[in-house]
Amino acid sequence: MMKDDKLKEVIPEALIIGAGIAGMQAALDIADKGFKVHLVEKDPSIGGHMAQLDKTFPTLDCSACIITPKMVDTANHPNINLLTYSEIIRIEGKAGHFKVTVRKKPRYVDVTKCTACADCVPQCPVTLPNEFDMGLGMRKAIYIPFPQAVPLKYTMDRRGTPPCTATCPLHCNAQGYVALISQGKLKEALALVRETLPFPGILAYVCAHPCERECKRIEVDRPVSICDLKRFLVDHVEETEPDFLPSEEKSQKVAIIGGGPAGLTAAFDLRRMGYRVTLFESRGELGGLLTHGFPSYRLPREVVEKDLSVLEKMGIEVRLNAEVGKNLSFEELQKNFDAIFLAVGSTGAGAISGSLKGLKTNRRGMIQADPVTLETGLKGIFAGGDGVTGPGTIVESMAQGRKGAISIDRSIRGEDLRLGRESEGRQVSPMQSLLPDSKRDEREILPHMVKPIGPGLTLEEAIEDAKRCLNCGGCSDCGECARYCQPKAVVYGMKEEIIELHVGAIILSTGFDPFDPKLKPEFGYGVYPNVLHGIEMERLCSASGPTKGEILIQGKKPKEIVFIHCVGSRDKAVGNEYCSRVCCMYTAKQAHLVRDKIPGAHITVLYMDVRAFGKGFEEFYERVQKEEIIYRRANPSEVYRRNGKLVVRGEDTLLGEPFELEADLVVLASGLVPRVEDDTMKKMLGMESSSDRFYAEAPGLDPILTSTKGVFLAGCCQGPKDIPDTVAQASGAAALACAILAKGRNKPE
Amino acid sequence: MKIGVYICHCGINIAATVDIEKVTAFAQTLPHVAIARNYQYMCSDPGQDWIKNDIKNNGLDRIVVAACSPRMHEPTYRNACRSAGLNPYFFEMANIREQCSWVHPNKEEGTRKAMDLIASAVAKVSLHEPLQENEVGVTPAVLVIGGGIAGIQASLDVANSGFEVYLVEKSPSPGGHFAQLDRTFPNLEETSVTLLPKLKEVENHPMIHLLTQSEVAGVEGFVGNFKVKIRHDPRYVDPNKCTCCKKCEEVCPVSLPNEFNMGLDRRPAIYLPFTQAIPRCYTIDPKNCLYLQNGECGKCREVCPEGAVRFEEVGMEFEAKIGTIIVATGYDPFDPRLKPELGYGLYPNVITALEFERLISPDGPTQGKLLINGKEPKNIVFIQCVGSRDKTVNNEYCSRVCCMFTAKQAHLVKDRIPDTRVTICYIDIRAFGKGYEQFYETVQKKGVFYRKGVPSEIYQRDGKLIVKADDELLGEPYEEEADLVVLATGLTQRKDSDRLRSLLKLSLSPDRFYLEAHPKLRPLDTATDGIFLAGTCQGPKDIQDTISQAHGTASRATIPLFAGRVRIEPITAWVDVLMCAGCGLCEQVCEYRALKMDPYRKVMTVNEALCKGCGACNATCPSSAISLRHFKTEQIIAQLREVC
Repeated sequence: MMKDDKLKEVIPEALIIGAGIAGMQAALDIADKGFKVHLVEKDPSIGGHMAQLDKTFPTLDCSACIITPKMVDTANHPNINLLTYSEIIRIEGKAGHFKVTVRKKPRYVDVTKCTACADCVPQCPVTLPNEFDMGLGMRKAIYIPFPQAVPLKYTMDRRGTPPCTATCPLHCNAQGYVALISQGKLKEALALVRETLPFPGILAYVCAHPCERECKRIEVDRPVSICDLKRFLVDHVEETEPDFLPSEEKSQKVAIIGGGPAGLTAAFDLRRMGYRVTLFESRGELGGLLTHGFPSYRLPREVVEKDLSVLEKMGIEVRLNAEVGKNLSFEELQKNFDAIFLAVGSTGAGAISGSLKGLKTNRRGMIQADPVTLETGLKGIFAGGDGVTGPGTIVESMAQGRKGAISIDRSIRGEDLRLGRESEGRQVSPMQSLLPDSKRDEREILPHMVKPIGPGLTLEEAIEDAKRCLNCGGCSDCGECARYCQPKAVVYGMKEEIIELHVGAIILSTGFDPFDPKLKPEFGYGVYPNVLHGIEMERLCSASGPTKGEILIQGKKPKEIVFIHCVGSRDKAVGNEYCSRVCCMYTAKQAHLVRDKIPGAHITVLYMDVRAFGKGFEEFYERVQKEEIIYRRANPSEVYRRNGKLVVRGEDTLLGEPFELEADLVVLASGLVPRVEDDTMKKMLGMESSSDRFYAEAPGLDPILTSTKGVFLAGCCQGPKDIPDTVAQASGAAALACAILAKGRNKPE
Repeated sequence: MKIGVYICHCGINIAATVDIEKVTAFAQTLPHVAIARNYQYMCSDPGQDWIKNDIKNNGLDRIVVAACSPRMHEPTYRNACRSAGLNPYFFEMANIREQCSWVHPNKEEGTRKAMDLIASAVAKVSLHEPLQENEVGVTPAVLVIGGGIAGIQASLDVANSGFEVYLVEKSPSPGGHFAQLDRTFPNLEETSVTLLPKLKEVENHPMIHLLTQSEVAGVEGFVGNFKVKIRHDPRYVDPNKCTCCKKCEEVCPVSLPNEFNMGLDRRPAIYLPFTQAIPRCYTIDPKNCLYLQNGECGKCREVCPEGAVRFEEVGMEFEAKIGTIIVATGYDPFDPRLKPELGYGLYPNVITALEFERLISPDGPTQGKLLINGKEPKNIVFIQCVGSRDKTVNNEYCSRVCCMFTAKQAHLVKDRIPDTRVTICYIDIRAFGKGYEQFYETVQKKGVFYRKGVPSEIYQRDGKLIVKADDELLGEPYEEEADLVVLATGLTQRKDSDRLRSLLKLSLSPDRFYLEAHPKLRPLDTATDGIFLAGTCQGPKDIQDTISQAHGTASRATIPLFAGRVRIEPITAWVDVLMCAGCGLCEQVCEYRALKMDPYRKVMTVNEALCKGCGACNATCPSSAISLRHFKTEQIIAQLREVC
């Protein structure tokens, strides 16, 4: 009963989704009226596309200059609860009382501590295309999108474990050390390798490197030489003696049978946990397959010796020439040790099962052990490595050793052996490449296990190769930013937050995506670097852009510039029959800016119809024409390259004849398309799309009302529009929302 | 005194032509300057934080920011000062962007000028005085001027938010031009589907006072506290009694052109403006009624079974207290007589678009039958951009709706008389709105010919109209015979707009429509606080955009009402009563009626709520008795001395 009453009540608070100019205007209008507003933005900063623009037509106001105060007002308004870097997961209820669930994505930076001092930036080894500059400029993995961002707090771009690390059975942070090598931070790189790999030298030489086959770079040309880079570190970096001593000593004793890769790793890991470890090896030296399987011209003995020398220093007792059944009895071992790990290799499996009663083998003669926990069925006895799995790679065996160590530790401490084990071993990365196997076979360079090893990479080669990494995982988790952050604002373990909101009305102001001109391959976008689209051109003109406002194409000022209208608009071939409403004018503005910045340039605009319909637009169009900017009514058919220059081919529809125009820069007036994410939102709210795939308004002449009561539209998510029309509509959505909220105000208690 | 000077790079906007480091070093040497800093974007959060922290930690008591025009960011920095505990009027801005870096290409000169401007700002700020900001209450009522679709929508939104609305419409019924249209583009929905429910809602809404046949006669006061005089003309028919039985109409001997039908048919002097009009009541046209003009006739009163006709009714004027004002006065269609080459007014079968709308409306003079001289036209030519995009008639702007209403009209013709040849002469097709391009495509598929190029002349040959034009795509001239030519007349500012403009102190943009406060970010506000614009009085727009804007204006106009109070600007005139001679010259120049003579002391007094701080009075005062706070003579002299 109580609950029902609460649902009937009108909540005098509003939710606005999307904090571009529409969302901000609506939020300010509602907040100024004294209602609480929750403004949710998926990006790290508010401002939307308008913040990316250089000047606005037709008055040539500086866009950043006029939007910055609005952004600051929005962030500082006492009635606005700003939720940046957040997404809507669920919306329930109806007008007057919606229940909204919001996921606040982790920034991995504590916004209460970050001072935006930028100390982290030079330390970050990962350089990525800057989305705000449409990829024309670069940013680090820890970044602010643009100097005037609100809130002015850093964000770490962590997209998940990259495929190299995910594929590695030991989860060696390959992207991390490759990124550090690219910066010349070699010591830090080796230290990062050591965090996951107990014996980096061995793996640097003989790893089968499954990481390289999964490397995202394989889609471009060939994978990054991840393994060779590791070898470069091992060969060339002077390490200060790493300290592997356990932080606490434990009394329990563990016996490891077998000194191959699996046994060595288990011994190393268990000792680091503080157990008293004794390693029994039947031969006269440690290493197993490493020493008797690989010739020394493949795996130099000194590398093995150096890697294994840590064992003694850590306090692991090594007993060579100790063979179970001969000079070592199981009864003895079981009596003296709390746990036993069998890592006897594929050849030793038969012998050991003979001497240990109750140890089962499978049809292939391998020891039977639980694949998740490596339990053998005998209390306190675990088995792993090739003796269980059959012959495998070195890194897989080592991963088995690590798995055994974890199980033994848990079993000694009486913990659940199975909980959360699915994260061990090979994983699938969200960035996994979908390249077919045949292509991978062509591009992957497999290790030659029998040929002598080469001389390895030089420093220059190593850095060069490391720079080829696409940093597909975003942040490489190298930890450098955290080391240098003075206020200790970097929080790697930050978790997403789920927030529940109760609101009376919802305004959708999710904006638009620019049309992807790659869908019009005839214009060569993505093929020729001097074919840009509208928003890229904005960034190129902008003082805060990658060229500081100079129009430079490959370092040179273009002399001949061609603008092409209606790219992705009024074009049924790409399914966009509608007009994008702003391209005519933003092109006129950009043409004017080019004229301003490059006075002698030859500028041509190819149009279908010039739609200069708003206040002052026709006048601006006239002004631009008078600036010796040539408007040609044309059907451009193709952009291609001839003698290093672009050529735009088309038909002049007024003259009725074909033409070819040479150009140093072609700007495509790309249209506005609905946001990809809108589909999810439409499902969540049970809303429909109009034929142009933007949000459908309710039947009738009102562009703000929707068929869902209490949900209103503002800005380009309803259809393309310019800034003043967007601002007007946003205020309008605020009026309609407030008419609902007003009913919930000053209710008698 | 400790002054802080902050110099903004504004990206490269300033830094490219002003040597920032040199200017910073120079500022440091100015009297009382304790701190001089520079930063890439002073307006950004970290920029403002510099100011706040320096006030708090270094005890600054005067701030100068050298950056852009104070128009944009003065409030930003004043807020920064306020939040750090400093009186916001201890702040001064030096405009080294618009007035310096943007206009001086030479770096050396630009740098020198920036130094001068900063020195002058420092000199002024050192003489600043703290000013106090006041707040006053707000009357929770909105005046909406104009009852077209914009005014109707805005009124409904305001009323639905719980505030009182005075909707003033000068004609006998709200509805505006919207009511005259047959169908709307692009969905070909009947206009009445949208209009009727809205009219009913306006009529029955408890918070809306619908004042038809009324006009705003005077406006006084300021945001939150306007006093508006409204003149209400008599209707001469009692709305409570009139049943619209039509008996009066039948006996009225007067016959006049019917405005609603664009003069295509006639109406008597007592008439119902249009079928859906509210209030649903007849009205008498006093200028043409024989009884009201010279006491003859009076037949309508005799036949009215309800006794609803009241010739004795008189007009009245009353004053309403108003919080904010929405202007939604709409447009006038362009008069095509100004384009004599098109033959409008000369040939009866050259008509305007609005006339065409009435002709195809079921409630129009022909009940929706498209008949020209009693015959269905077989050849129709539509001509676009009549009075738009045309400097010869001083209308450079695009009227934004004509492309689409022409497409719609062509569509309706093809629907009704499929074998009619329809040609549309255009310059560019501006089908920019939602679903418009698709509609344009549909119309083309219906067999409507679009020919690029507008005609040079229309003349008559053998009783037929000939449209002469250049086909710009074929590059050759042609002649097209027509039974009917429809001119897509553009939208212009209302002829009677000047009266309201001077009452409300509105400005005009070059296209003569009312000017908004900022073309991008404040498209609904005007330069005067508390006065807002909706619909086509601000510039041509379609119905969808008008409705959207009307909602928006309602939002803007209700902000002070929801808040319940408004802030009064403290930069106002101040009279030194000992110096004032009571000459009254200042009162005459005050545009805002903020000055009043004290009848007893014979000195001038200032109403600070009305005063906008324009400075006209103190420049006029012969005895220097009036000064303007924040711009006192000694402050300005100090400022000037540094640049002279």
